[in-house]
Amino acid sequence: MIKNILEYGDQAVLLDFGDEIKKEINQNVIFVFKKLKQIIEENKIPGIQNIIPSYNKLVIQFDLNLTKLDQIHQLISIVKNEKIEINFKPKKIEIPICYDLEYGIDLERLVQITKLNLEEIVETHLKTNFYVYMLGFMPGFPYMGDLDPKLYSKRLTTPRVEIDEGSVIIVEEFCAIYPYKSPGGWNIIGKTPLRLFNQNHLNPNLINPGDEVSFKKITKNEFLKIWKSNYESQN
Amino acid sequence: MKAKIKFSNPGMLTTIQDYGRNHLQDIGISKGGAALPSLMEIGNELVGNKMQCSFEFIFNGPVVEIIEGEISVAVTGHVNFEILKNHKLEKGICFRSYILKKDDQIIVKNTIDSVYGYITFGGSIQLSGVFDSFSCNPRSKIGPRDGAKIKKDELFDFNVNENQSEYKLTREPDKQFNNKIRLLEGPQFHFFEKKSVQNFFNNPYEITTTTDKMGMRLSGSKIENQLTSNIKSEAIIKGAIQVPADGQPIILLTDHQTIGGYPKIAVVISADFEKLIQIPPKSMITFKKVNYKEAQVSYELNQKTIKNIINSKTKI
Repeated sequence: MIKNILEYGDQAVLLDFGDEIKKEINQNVIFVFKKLKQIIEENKIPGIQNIIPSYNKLVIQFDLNLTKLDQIHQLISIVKNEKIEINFKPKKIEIPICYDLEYGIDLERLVQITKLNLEEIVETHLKTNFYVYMLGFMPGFPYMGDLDPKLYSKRLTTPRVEIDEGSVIIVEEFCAIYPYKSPGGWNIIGKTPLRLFNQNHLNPNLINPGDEVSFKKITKNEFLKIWKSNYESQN
Repeated sequence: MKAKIKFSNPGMLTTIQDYGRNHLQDIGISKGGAALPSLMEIGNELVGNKMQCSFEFIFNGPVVEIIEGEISVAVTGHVNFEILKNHKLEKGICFRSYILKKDDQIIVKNTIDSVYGYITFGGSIQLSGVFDSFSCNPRSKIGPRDGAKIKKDELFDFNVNENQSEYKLTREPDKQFNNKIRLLEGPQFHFFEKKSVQNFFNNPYEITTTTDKMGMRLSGSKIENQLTSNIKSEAIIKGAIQVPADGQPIILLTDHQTIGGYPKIAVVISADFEKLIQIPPKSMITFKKVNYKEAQVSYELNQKTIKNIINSKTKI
């Protein structure tokens, strides 16, 4: 599982699990991520500031005032010998999505690209159980895979200047949702009325690494109703 | 006791900062915080705060008016500023605190040969932290008041510290910067062609004007990649130097994104990070490769120096 351990500056270490993007590799990353968090919490180990999983790497960032590199290596050696058990049940999350052309502004282009009709695109997207590889780029932004190869598309040649929050987007084998308004070059297929990230909530993010996400089709009226209650009534 | 202040001029880009936030990079929020924690710490010390927060400004600073009460204030950095006290204007001195009253003002002109400066008030600011921090990131909208920069005429309330006095330092931080930055090899060091790596260490690079608190874009001899200029995105840390396909390095700074897909040739050692982030655009910098031991020893030495500076605080 851990193929290599590299120093990453003087206050971080990078654990290398491989080069590919594969659910099995990422599950190992998430396993070590959760295990480390558990050990640190149970033993009140000081000085670890962040543990950050990505597709096939895990970065441990520490504070040199409170701990030293040797102690981080010791911590890693504990988890290195752990047998990997993917025994944590993934949290399943259902995200409502409206595929109305007003929101799914790239759907008609995708018909050209994929040679599928609108219903087939929607159906293929709805059929997939997505796995959350990691969060990043902006607060709460989930990188999810793997999209059905029939829906593969490339990034736009010129990224859009602003994309609405809640937009559901795809590129290559990935699907994601914008938590905030942002520029971006992925293809937009619809919009969810849920808020993915709210800094005023105790658990600010809706989706976590390792979760399983599926989509549920809703009408424009349903969309507007949920959107209103999520965005207009609260902070 | 209470005091109220008003930013009658917000400056170019002024934000509230403290040490930032830990344990959130896995959900897309990087640590952030003050660009120069040492200047913020010294400022808080001079006004009698147990480390709280400071107002961080860039290049052209704000004008702050005391609207109500009496409060001590310190400006830290290499800053040109004035103090309006009892209707009299005097030249401001960095690294000392002033007790100001209603109608007095702090008029910050600009930072000198540097980027960031700090204004710190003595007392607890009347705001609620977000994820245990007052730090504001206007781009990701994280922080009190949705992380916004300070707006014109924005008001802040303080519960003022008791028994305020004016302090100065007998030992100040160095003002002279040399532009040599020490680096450790990055995780993808071997991606880069030998000759290019030599060029990287032997030639100066210019800090371009597209630099901000997220990243410092450099311009200089092109770094050729012999493997691939895209990797599977992985966590980014402060000081990492990534090289996109155009071969021009970008150093990730305090408000960096949480993950990135460019290979990283090197990482700036922590001991040199504050020096680096204070160097203004259009300056030239050079790099030197060091080993882990030197990085660690230099960092510990730096921390000791900051402690000594803080301990040199004396009443005026």
